[in-house]
Amino acid sequence: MQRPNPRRGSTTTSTATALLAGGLLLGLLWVGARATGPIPPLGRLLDPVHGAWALAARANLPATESHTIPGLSAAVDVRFDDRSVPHIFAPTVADAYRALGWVHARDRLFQMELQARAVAGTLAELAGPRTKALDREARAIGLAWGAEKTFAALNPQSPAARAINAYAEGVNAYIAQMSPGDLPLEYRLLGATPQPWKPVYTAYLQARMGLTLAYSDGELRREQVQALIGKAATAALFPVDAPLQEPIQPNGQHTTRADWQRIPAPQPASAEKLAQALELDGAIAKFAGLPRDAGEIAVGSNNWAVAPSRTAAGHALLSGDPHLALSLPSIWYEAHLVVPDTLDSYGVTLLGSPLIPIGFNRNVAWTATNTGADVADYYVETVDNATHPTSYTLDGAWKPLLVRIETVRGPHGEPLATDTIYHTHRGPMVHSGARWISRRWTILDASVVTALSAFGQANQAASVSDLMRGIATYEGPAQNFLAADRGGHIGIRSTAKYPIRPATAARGDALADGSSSANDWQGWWPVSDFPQSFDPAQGYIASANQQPKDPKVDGRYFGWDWPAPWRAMRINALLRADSAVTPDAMRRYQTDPRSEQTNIFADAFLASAAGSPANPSFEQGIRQLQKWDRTFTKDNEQAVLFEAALDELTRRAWDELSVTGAPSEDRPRRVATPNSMILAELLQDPKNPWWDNRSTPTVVEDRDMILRASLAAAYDRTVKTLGNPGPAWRWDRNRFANIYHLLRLPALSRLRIPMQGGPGTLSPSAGDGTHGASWRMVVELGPEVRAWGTYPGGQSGNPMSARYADRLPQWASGALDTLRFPHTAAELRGATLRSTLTFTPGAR
Amino acid sequence: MRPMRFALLTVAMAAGTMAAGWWTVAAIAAGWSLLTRGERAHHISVATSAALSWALLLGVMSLRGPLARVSEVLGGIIPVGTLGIFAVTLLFPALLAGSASVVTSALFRRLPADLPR
Repeated sequence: MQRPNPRRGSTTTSTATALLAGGLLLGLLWVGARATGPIPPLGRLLDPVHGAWALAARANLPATESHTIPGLSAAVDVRFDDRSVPHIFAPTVADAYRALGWVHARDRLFQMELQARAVAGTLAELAGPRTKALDREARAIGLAWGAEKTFAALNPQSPAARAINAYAEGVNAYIAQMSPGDLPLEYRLLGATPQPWKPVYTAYLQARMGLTLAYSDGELRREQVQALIGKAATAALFPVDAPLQEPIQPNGQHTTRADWQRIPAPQPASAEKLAQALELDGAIAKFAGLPRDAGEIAVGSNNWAVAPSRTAAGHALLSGDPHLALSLPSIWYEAHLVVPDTLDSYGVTLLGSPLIPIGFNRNVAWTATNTGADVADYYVETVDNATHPTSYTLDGAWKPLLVRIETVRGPHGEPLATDTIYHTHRGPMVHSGARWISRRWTILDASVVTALSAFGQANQAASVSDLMRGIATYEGPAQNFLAADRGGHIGIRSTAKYPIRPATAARGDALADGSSSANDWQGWWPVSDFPQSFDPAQGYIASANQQPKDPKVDGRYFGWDWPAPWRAMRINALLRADSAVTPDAMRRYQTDPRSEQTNIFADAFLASAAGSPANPSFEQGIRQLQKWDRTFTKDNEQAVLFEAALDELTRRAWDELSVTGAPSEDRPRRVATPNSMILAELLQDPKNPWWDNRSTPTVVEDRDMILRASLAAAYDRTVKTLGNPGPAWRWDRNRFANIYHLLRLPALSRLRIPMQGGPGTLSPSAGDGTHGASWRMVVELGPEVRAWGTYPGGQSGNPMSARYADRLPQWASGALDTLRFPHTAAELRGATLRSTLTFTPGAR
Repeated sequence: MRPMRFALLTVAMAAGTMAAGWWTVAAIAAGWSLLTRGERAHHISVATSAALSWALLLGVMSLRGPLARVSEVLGGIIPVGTLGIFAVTLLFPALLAGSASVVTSALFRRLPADLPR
């Protein structure tokens, strides 16, 4: 027998070891340099000097630093106060914008690029194929196309162009000066580097806000609902005029007016028509990638102003409380811009724009809520070829279609998808079943110039009338601009370009025939017709996205399906009851825990108990509701049951709006959900056929039966989920604000933040908790302007910094910080000064 | 490996990382193994030296900012926890340098030790 050769065995072992080590080395070099699936390049990430660890050194602001910005006319002094707010003291407005661009980029560069890319449809170039669908949707909507068109028309010598270019110079100066250690974490995770900032991105931002605030696909959804339940019922469930009237423009009634009407029974259309209507799902998704009906969203902005006659100190007060999708970093960035004798303005800026859309100066404070006017119409077009059209008919003649080829590319420039987008003179079209549908939308025409000029003039306004004059040219998205000044004036105007529709055509809430130009818009509303109010006799003005004008005052079509005015009703009730309002009361109102809808619905549940047959769950539910103080405070133990009961009631009442869709859908889905104001209207009619449950053909249910069933089911559901009534039912253990990072990474997000407020309160906290107050501000317009504010996040976009989310505890508790508003740079010193940054002119 | 040589290698790796980046630990480990061929291999010492060099750099970085917060964030993104991310950060250069050392030793084993170094 041959004996084994120990030497050969040793050689074999060492060769195997070397091969293993070689494989390991190659693997480590690969994962060190290249992203592997979701894992970022580890070497570049973990490198203690150039990797993410280096961000520790960028977490705190240095006590002093200086940099150059090409194009500056002279030195700019920037003082960061103890809340990390930059106070920019510049010799010219353009220099102030350059400095702001630089600090925006230093603190939020990734966010800025991500926002621009989201509009341009180039996210996949940064994040890879997983964002391909988002890019295709963005390009189909045409936001960048519209922004570029309006930007190209910009006179380069105009103040707006100079502002945009100066701002871009500041951003690019920062990018040019970045060291590898400055690279924001997100770029490291994606294995990417920042791209130069293009001035057109400011126009993209304006378009993006248009998508967030002024997008509507109501005609498409409405057609689906009409096919399902008939025209009359649709008109009642999604009315042009809100049945609860508490308009922005005071109607002199000093109380909410209920215009309840009977909701007609559903009248289903033919199966063929319904199938055609459901095909519109494709158009809805292609135009905006919006989810199918998600019910009433607990979101909404509020603002109100109080005249000196109703305030304790005799000075006008203003509250700004815009609500948006919450994110980290926040959508806002606080800044104070000072240019001697020209500009002295403080407020929140949007990353990507040099102006202050919400804020105050030494004389005026201004803020905005979303108007929600209908500024988008849809047209069924007739094309020459159903699959590859080249022209469409208009007034009997064929017109060529504008064709846009859009290629979505990946990080290495590789094409991921190519789409052909067809445009009529109205806007982009989408193919929906057998139909081609185009959209006219003011946002695609809205000029960034008018927005910048409007905000530019607002920032420098001396009075409410001055501000409103400057902002009158603003084109969209439509906003309820509210202002108050030191002279004691208050005023509001819902401002944008509102289309005048032809009297013969569809009103704006239905699909129009695209083959006739007679159906096109015919002009724009004059400013004098906009909803507005200045120094009303009641001494206060409030807006909360409700229908702006009482239809009995002005019956013209302005929009439809207005949000339930619960918040407006509550603000007005609070302001009516308080004739000596203080800044602190304004702050408390912003997170007031009561909702006007609770009285209507909780009363209805309680009343349904009369003479009802015994049902243990229902009896338990009633006992809980009887104990309820009708608030959504953190320690409340009944609000969670009320919310569940309202959800059950909604589901049962609107069961006729459910359809079974594609085979992939395992259960029926609701095509659309009427809002809670319509549910309140239905409550007024106990025997209405809508109360009948379709799934129980042998029984005809009425209102009280459905109320009882809803409450019993809600009680059972809550017990099943949370156990018997007790601490587990506390509101703060069940409803949270969830603030996700822009990349939705949990480690960079702040989730499950307990909040006060529920459905219909001024600070709604419900649903998935991803919407909420994005900035809260109170301004007192006294001899010296005083202001308080906060937002959910922090000034820094660096998650390693304490300034990333340092304002969250304040925000969650409803408290506000005092905003420092120094006249001179020297006023910030000692404990109020965190950092000094000096910019000097640099070579271009 | 003698302490002085170990210290020299550690400093070299830290300097290399500072000057050119993370991959230099592999390059320096390979170079070191080439220079010390013919001697008893010290792959573990090389790996330890790499880990120590990054530990030193992290120590320096901790003087400039909140390293604990960074570890909290990074340890959440690469879900290994706050302490785990420190371990990963030190293990990465150790494996990189150790494997580079083994591979270099194997490749250049047959070269005479008295060739000009």
